[in-house]
Amino acid sequence: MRTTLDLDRDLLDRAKSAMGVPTFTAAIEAALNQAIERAEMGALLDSLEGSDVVFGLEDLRTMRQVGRGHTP
Amino acid sequence: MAILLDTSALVALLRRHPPAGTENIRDATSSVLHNQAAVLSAITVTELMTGARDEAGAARLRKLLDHLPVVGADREVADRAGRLGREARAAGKTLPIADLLIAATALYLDVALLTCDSDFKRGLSLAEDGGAASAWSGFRLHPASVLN
Repeated sequence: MRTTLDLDRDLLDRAKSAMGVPTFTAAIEAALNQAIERAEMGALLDSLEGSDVVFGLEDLRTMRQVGRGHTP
Repeated sequence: MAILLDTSALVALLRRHPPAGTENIRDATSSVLHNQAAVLSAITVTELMTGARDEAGAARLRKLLDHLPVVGADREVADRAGRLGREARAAGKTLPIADLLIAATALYLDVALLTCDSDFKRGLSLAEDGGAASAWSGFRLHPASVLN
């Protein structure tokens, strides 16, 4: 999509350089993708933290002990 | 900088009533995830999915896993894990296979491991005692790791 944006040139230059991308378009797209990823991850973590969606640490330890190697 | 999250760190974060003393590791795990610095071993994916409370929980976990890079236990990692295990056995220490593969993944990626599994203390002591020749050389833990 083609559009017109009023953006800070210095900010764009810095973003392009920091992200190692060749064009302003690539820099903006990369920044948008990162912002979306970060927001989605934040929302996921908010819903999952403390949710008891998995077993406890004791269950994990028990499961790992089953895979413990033998001492010669 | 990337951090390898052990299953135990994720479990501590996801539990409503985690054991006392895991507050720091919960905060560190959350921070690593929010900052998009987390890497997982494929073993952790297996352990998490094994421990999912039900199918709905598994689906929610998959959504989280979709956002995280996962390193598989390929030939190189598996061989490295075997060397870690062999050295541990020679020192009279035993470690779960899952721990060996996760430690090998951390070494392969050259990143610190964030964990609250005390079994990794054995690996850490082997790294400290064995010097540069040790297969465990370079194995390191994130400072927020809890090894009680």
